[in-house]
Amino acid sequence: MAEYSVLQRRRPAFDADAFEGAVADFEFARARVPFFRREGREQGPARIDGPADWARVPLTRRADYRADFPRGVLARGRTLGEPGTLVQGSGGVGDDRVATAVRAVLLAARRAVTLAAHPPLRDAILGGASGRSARYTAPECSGVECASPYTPMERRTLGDGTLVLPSTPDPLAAPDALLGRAADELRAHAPAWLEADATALAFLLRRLAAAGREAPPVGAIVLTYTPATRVARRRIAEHCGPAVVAEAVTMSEFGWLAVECPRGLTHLNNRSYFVEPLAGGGRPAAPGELAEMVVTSVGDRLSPHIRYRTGDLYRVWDEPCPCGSDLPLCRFEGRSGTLLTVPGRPAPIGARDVDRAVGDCPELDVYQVSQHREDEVRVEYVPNVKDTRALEDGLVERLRALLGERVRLTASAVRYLPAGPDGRLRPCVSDLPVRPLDQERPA
Amino acid sequence: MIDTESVTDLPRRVRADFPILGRRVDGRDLVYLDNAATTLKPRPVVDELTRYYTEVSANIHRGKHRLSETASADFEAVRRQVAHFAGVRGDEVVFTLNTTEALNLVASGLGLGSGDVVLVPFDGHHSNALPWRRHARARHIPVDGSGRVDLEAYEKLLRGRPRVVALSHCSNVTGVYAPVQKMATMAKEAGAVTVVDAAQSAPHGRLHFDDVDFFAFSAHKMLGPTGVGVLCGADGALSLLDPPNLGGGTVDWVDTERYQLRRPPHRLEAGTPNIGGVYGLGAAIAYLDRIGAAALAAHDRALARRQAAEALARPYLRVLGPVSPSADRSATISLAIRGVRNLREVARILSDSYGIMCRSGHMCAQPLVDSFTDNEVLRISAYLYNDEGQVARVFAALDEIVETVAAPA
Repeated sequence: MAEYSVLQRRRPAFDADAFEGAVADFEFARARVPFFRREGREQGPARIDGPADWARVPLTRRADYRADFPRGVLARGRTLGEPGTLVQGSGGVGDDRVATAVRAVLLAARRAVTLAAHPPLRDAILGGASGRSARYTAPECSGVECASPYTPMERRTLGDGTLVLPSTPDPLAAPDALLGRAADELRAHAPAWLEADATALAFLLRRLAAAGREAPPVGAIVLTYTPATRVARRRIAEHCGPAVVAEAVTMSEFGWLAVECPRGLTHLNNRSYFVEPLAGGGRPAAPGELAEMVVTSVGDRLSPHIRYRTGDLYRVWDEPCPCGSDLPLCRFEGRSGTLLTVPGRPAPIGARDVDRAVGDCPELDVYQVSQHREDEVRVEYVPNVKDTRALEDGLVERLRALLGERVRLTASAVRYLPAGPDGRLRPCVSDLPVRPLDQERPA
Repeated sequence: MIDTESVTDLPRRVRADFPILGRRVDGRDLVYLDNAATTLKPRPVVDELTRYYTEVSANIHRGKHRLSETASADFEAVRRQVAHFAGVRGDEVVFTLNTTEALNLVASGLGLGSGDVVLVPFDGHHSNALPWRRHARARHIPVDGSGRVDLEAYEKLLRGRPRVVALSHCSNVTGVYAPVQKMATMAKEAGAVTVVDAAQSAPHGRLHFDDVDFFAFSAHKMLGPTGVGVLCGADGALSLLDPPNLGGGTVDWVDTERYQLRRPPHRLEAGTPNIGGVYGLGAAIAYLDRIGAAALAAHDRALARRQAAEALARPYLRVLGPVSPSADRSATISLAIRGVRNLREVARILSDSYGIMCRSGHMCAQPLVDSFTDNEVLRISAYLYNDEGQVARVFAALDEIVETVAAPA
């Protein structure tokens, strides 16, 4: 165990108990899960005596689980039909498609551990009278059937009682009838908490306000799926005043991974999983270094995930947070394709940095910063004022300070911003991929 | 792939992207100047069409399997991309067969009757006149002697409280941009539904209207595939339209007695659409977007100026429409040749002996052409891969041809 204490100092987020749990999941997977016993698959070291052995365990990817689902990735003798088993898909398409099964009780436990970083949110969610939740984001499939306001609520209620509100795969184009229906259902369902995409929710609230309708009361709002901008959060705060609002990082495969604390800093759950922020060549990331999060489940005897590449990019620190939580501090930076790479800046710029530069503009409803070439960045925004000159000048000035002088920066006011293929409108998108884990190990 | 460093050498930078421009016509370089009819396709558009048929190929909105979801997501992503390009919302975009079908959809869907008056542009395409003539009483918005819209006469026509005002943003014959923004606002003040044919302006990135209820354009005129058009209906206008066709994709729910129409735009897209074509349209818009609307417009204006200068320098040519420096024109110019009746022969010689493709005929705007000449016209229409040298080349070729085909003075 002495080795662990050294590692804890070197590697932010390393947790000894979680590591031992991950090793147990790995041994279980090798004994009971067909995918990990497959002939021709690299098996990793015969015995795991410590992190050095662990580093030789092969990484897995989304495609491994999708391609072998369910027969190859469920433990022998287990089935999807067992009570309390949730089969999860996701809004991803093509190679981003997720197929996974997880026990509801495990998801609940992971959520509870994560929520320790935000006691008021924990109390609202776990102590809520109804115990019910609702979800508002782009539908899981892009088919228009999912968006139809004629789908009955029962067909959109998940196994754990979560009501998926009707929505469109394009938040800024949701018709009023659908928005009204979502609001009506939210009021009728009266969930203890709502899990929502911030941009989609802010749009819903704007349109309700424009129609003279009040936002349905909700005890807590968890903003997830896409980075919540300050502009969206201001709108949500205006209309949902008493609700506890916090941002969280959730994954279809695992559930809750991180949550914002009352101080506004994000904490990573490194107890329910063994988390490894990995940089170039699989090297453990240094504190604050951009890294891909690799996750191993702990205690999953249905479909353990072993060294699973999430594709999500984080920075993790080992400094304490003033909020008092002992879960490590992190920042979720998005995925490849959501960070800007600009000349003269050694590290990519994430949505959080961009959002800080944009700021909380009351004249702004929504914005998107996009990059097609290294030296060209565009900001498009939907204003709520007619004269946009001062707004645009300010935006350009602040983004210029962030991006530097070597980037051609253009700004334009638009009526509408399109969502991505998964139906989500991200504040920051780029055609230039950022994959720190796939970079060569530095010499 | 394109480099957007410079506006002035746009053709040089993009030509390699167009495989057909590598083709030789009897040993000569191909000069394509029939862009008002349809445009050439860059490699990314061809590749995207191929990608759909080789990697996806599934139907949309009809399944949960991986290929169908990919097709649905890609198709809807292009709808949002089109919306962004056109300055409307994603649910305000209907995919049609082409601009003609889009305009017919509006003309047939508004519930017009023989007592309703529709104003149509005198310099408009047949597709922006005949549908209105079929469903209502059409009145022409006249152009003045120079080919510009006669705004005074237009204002008088509006006093008749027309139900619809149909406008052409850019004439496919004269290349002149009409002041559609001003005209649309005037029409709205008169209480009319406003419709704009944007087939000739969309390729140059000139969209984003106020006070326009409907506008339409075609993919194939802006580097995209044939068989895909777009109808935009802003601010709920699409819900005014009675769907001309019903069937798969248009309804949410059906029993033996009743059915519930799906929300717009889906209720207006009956049956399986041109999915591959929509993929190609997405690639075309992405390509144009990388160049940028400002660069496209600047190039268009530069070519228009050069066309006008070359035409004015030749006394044997008559130009349909205004060519003064102040005229807001696209790089489309239509000509009559003094002493030459058979313009089809001229177009054929340009093609076969010079490798220059341009069009002769009435350009689907016969009333306008007939008001200018008792003959057909020859149209030269340029786009982003054409340069001023090619414009000069076609006029130099005309000098040679006219010498041999003109009737003796």
